Amino acid sequence: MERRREQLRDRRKVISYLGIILVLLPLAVLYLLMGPTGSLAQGWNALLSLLGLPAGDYPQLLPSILAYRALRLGIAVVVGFTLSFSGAALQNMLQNPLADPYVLGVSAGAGFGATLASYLQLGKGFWGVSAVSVFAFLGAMGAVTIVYSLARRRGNTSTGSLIIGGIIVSSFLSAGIIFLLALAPLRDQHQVLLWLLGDISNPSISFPHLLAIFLVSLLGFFALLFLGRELDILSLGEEEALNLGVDVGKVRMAIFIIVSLSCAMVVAVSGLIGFVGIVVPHAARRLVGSGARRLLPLSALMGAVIILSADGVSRLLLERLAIPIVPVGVITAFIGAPYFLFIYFRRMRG
Amino acid sequence: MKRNLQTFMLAVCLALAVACGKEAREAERESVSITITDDRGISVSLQEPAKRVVCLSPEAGEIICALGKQEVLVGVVRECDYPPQLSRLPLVGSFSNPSIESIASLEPDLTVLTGLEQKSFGERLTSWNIPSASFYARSIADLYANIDRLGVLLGAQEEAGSLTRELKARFAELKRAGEEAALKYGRRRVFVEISPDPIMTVAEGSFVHELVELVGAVNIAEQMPREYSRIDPEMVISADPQVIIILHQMADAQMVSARSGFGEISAVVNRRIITDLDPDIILRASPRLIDGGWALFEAIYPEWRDEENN
Amino acid sequence: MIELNKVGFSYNGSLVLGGVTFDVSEGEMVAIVGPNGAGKSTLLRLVSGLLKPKSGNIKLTFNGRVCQPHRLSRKTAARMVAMVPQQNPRNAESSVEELVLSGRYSQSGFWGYGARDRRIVHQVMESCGLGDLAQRRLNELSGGEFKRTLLARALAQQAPLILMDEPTTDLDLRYQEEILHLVKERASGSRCLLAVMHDLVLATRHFSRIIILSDGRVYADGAVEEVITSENIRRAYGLEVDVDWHRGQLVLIPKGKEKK
Repeated sequence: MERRREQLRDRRKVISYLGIILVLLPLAVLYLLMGPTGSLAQGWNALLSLLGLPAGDYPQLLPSILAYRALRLGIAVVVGFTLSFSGAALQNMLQNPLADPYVLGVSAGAGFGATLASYLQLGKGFWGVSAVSVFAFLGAMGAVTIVYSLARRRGNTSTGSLIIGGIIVSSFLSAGIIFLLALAPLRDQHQVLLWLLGDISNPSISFPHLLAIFLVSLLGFFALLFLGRELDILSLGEEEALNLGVDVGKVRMAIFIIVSLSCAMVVAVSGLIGFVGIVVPHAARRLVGSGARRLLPLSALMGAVIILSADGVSRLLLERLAIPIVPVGVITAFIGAPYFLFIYFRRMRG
Repeated sequence: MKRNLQTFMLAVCLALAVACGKEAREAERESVSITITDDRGISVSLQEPAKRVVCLSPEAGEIICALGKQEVLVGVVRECDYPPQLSRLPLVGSFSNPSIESIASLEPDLTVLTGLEQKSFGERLTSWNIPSASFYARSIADLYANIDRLGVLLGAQEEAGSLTRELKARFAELKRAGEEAALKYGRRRVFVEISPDPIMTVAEGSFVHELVELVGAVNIAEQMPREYSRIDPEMVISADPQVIIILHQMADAQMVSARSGFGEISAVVNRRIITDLDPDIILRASPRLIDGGWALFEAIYPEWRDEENN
Repeated sequence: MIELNKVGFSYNGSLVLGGVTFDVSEGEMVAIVGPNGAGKSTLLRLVSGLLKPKSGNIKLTFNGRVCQPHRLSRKTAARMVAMVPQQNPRNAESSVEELVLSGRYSQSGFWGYGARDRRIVHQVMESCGLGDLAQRRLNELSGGEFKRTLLARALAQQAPLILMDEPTTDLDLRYQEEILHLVKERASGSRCLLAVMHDLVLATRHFSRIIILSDGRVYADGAVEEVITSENIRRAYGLEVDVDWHRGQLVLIPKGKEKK
């Protein structure tokens, strides 16, 4: 009986991993080939020619369009990957299954930075990155630094202190955002609103930038995996973690820095895509448990799939129906909210 | 005999009275004869031409000055910057956010506004009993109508008439040039970008779109759902415009060419990204629109001017 | 061995412990009893190094090393002191084996738990009767099984000092006896054991040395027969009792409550 249950559990884990990879790859290819322009076959030919392979017929500019889609694909994958593993790590560290990377001030900081850049009309940007992205990143890092300092001043960086710090900073910065929005003309308000919802239809970075962001994020991911044991012990509670030999303060700081940095970079590019950081780790946990070394990779992959799907829906379905472009953040909200409802009803029954 | 004379005198008096009354009535009708219907469908009536006007619409401000009635302006919004003297007038707020109190304190006979985000403000003006008229142009014909109606409201019908006649002639001339160029060089595909983030363009229902067509070009975004709407970069790439017109200050040609997938667009390859046009003369339905039209035309068909000169 | 010398601790200005002095040698098993709020849990935290004494000092001497616990790095401290906590929120997705494995953290290598760690974990689980429950989820365990798991984790740490904070709370009769028997079996030898017990009678049954802590001070310290007297109980707990021995076990009868 015991063995049987164990076998089922193990099998579920293996299926989850395999399944997610088997979903991700074809999804990526489909995303690349399908769109308002060109048929699947033409897309396929264009892709082949991009790879230097012999190919059939395709409209002349289709490779350019594929290049644009590829960048958007890359951003979707990196964003989903980062937000999800960050959410998983934070949920362990804060012992709260509803934590997400935004709770530490990343979203409020980035939002404020982006709004400020928009208000100041600094359109031209720096080193090929838009001003909004640069300011969003700086804003996010600034906010989390303040949150962390507030927690330390309180004497410790316990989960309670961090969360309170996050609330304080977020309140202030949200007020700041609203203030700036009130001053700005409507057109700029529109731009900021889209950014706050989360939108990747207009990539403001280039491939080299994306690659750099991905590498940093990947490094952070592996660092968190390396700290997997510590993460697991942290979820037992602060005092127990200390008793078991974990240097809680240092580990928390490391996780905090890794998560903040990765999410700040990613959010700077895509805006504040919501729900993914909470919902994906939550769902992944149901599949493989909360052991960090299993949870984080699965969360990361699932996150990539979710954002890719959401953006795919936004592009294909809605553009075909001539509805004005719906930002990715709206679609994820439509996925996230029903998921919570689903959990809620499950809990009631079980 | 005396009786007949009396009757005759009575009749004459009566006739005179009726005639006087008639004139009086006509005179009265003339004094409320300043009536137009504005773009909200509201009938705007004034006893006499407006002498104190608050202007919330930069393009209407230009029209009012072009009609020679600059002196009636008592208040403007921040964005009214042409002619430059307008900036020295008292400010009543900004285009998106005018201050109803400032306007009321100036006691205007008339407040001129436009559509888009000012639509709801018009209702507030009405509830404050401040007379207002809204003009929002969707086409070049609307521009003429706006000039005419403002002329009526300001008692400058003659000036309005001659201004519209002049504009019509000049637009006709531009149209001819456009048709010639189209025949000679083929109708060029143009992408007009009014905002970079998100990318926004003009489509059918916008006078800017009409202008593009008028100068002999094809607006690749014609079919977009709203007259000012977002457009997916993919659609811009696949339409392969030959000229890209940037009407904002937020990106230069280099940034546009660097956008993912834009590298192979004809406009980028042939370096036909135009960033030096003054947006105000193209995006405002004002008498300067004809200048904007020529600037647009020459940006799209630079060869035409060279040939004219040779 | 453990040496406490006039250890004092206050929290938010109010004195919790004052002038606590006692020694525990290798191989000794001591129960610390006393009324609630006497500072017993705080004492454990001071010995494990989580808190720093406000006055006096604590010295731990094991394997030839002398140190003050609060000065140690957490890993070093965990190698020296293992704690069996009173409460532990159960993580539903963890298994018994995973929890016991976490006890090896302080002893394991840089990269992760190795074969040796797993071997030790299996041995310890067997010795605590958890062999068949290795993959069971924590929230499917009974109270007794869960306490045994916590004990197994502490044993897996292979620390020379084991601290237990009220190990019999919430356990019914059978498991109370069971856990204390297990403790005496497994934790004997060269280890020191310090257990905070709230059940005085249970303590006297299983431990040979008792320390009574009251109002933050050591009230009495010594063998059961010496320490458990009517006088001490009255002054420490504020309760009048008759102390009696029945069939070799200690019995406390509150005065004035005899059934007629």
